Amino acid sequence: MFLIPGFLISFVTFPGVMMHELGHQLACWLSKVCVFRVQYFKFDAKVAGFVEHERTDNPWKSLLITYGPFIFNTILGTILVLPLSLMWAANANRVILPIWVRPVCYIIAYFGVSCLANAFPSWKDAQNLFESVVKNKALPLLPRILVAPFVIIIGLCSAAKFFWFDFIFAFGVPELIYAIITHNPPHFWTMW
Amino acid sequence: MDGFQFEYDPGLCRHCHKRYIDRSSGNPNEFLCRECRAELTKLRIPKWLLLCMAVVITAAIVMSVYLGKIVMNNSTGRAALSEGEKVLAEVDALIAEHKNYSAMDVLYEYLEANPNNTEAAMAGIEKAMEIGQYDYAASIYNTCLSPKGYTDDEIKEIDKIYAELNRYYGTFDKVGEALSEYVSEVGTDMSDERKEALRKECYNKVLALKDDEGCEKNIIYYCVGTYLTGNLDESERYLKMAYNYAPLTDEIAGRLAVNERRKGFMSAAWEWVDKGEKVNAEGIEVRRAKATILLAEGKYEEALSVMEELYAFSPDGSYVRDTYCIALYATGHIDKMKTVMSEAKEAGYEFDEEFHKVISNRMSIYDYYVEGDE
Repeated sequence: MFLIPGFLISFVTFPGVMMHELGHQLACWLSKVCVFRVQYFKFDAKVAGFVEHERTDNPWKSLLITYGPFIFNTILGTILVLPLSLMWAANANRVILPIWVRPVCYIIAYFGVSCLANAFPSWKDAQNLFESVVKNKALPLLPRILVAPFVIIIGLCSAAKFFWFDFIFAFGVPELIYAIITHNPPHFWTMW
Repeated sequence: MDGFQFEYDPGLCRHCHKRYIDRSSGNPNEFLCRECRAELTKLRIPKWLLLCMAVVITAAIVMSVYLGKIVMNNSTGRAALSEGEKVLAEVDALIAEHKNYSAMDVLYEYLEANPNNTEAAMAGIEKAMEIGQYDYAASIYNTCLSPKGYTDDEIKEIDKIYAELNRYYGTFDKVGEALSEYVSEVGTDMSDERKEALRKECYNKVLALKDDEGCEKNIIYYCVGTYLTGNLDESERYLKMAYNYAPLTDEIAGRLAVNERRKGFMSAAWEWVDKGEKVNAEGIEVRRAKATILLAEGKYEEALSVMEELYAFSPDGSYVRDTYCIALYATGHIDKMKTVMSEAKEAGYEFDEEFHKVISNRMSIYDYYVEGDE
């Protein structure tokens, strides 16, 4: 597997990292959980960004805060890659587009792909969710059991990042939109 | 120890260390005062980040709307394209039934309503040119392939079509120019020798065009064979040469049928009619040739039936009025014949001398079609 240091990917996709942290922040705001400090992005090999918030005993709030970036980045990323998918659809229909359309679409898509590539909660997020909910014996058993699969999902996704799962997802979303619009199968990297 | 000793008050807010923790919520783990909690649960996003997001999201929405409209319009175009494919299949079926004009009408009607369907237009033009319907091809070219965005492949295809149309009409222009000169010089009071000399001059001039690479040989031979030869055998020779170049042109077969009829070789004439009908059963020249053969053979009712259809389809076709009137005359529809003749007169059409001989019973129909000039 072709390995690129994670921090390098974070640097390249820094808008997505910022939106990831914003996703946590928005989830805290929706859950009325206090946020003490937000670092949207920093050039650091260990931690590219973080949100310091108060600990909550509510398992659903913890789940929302953990999955906030996934929801927010996926919605935002989808909006941002939509022009690219539409451009592909236009090309598939042999429409000649003005010359400026392609670079503009790719610039916007860069932000979209960055968001989508950073949509998945981090391993650290999974650890936090595990500690605050699944391992928290003070909580009733049912929410702990229900939240456990979500921790496993994050764990699996984190493991799959080794196989570039985050980028497969990021590049796959615009292709999926293209396939839905045109009813044509996507032709993967050749479209880019 | 006399030094300063900090008195830590566990009841103070852990954030501001000034106010007391708000215990009103009933949460035993509460560690913030009311003000700090209110402040820290507010959404505080830096303005620069909001601005950047607003710019990118706005750009994405504007581009999505712009491209969405294009894709939507084009999907309508794609639907039209599949509709176009159906029309092209219908055109193929009509051509297979030798109904070339009906095929072209179906195609033209569709393309007039859907001029943006470039693929159907190009396929239609190619079909039209294949069956020798250059006027339809040119008309579709002008209607549908007017300057607009094309791919490189489409441009190459359009250039090919343009070159072929240009070659076709270029040849007609050159031949037409020579023929007009000839017609304008020939006078009624001119001696036969002088007329023959002018004809020969025009004949050589038109025939010389066959060496011009930019000219279509079948058109040259067709025009020479139809208008400029001195006798039927020579005419037949050139028309056959034209036919060999363009066997899918029903007009040539029609002309050859007429030549055979004039020589009295009815079975040979019918052979050419069959060949012509296999190319285009709706061809004007072929249908008229068929009617004249039927008239020469004395099958007047059949001839009238053919001519009624043809007159309704193309009254201005070459000799169509004459043949129709003869068929009306032969079947005893004199009043109807007179009506058609007066309509023709109003349209500025003049019947030739031999025609008048036939309808005044001074010449037989057989002689008119076999021995005569028609």
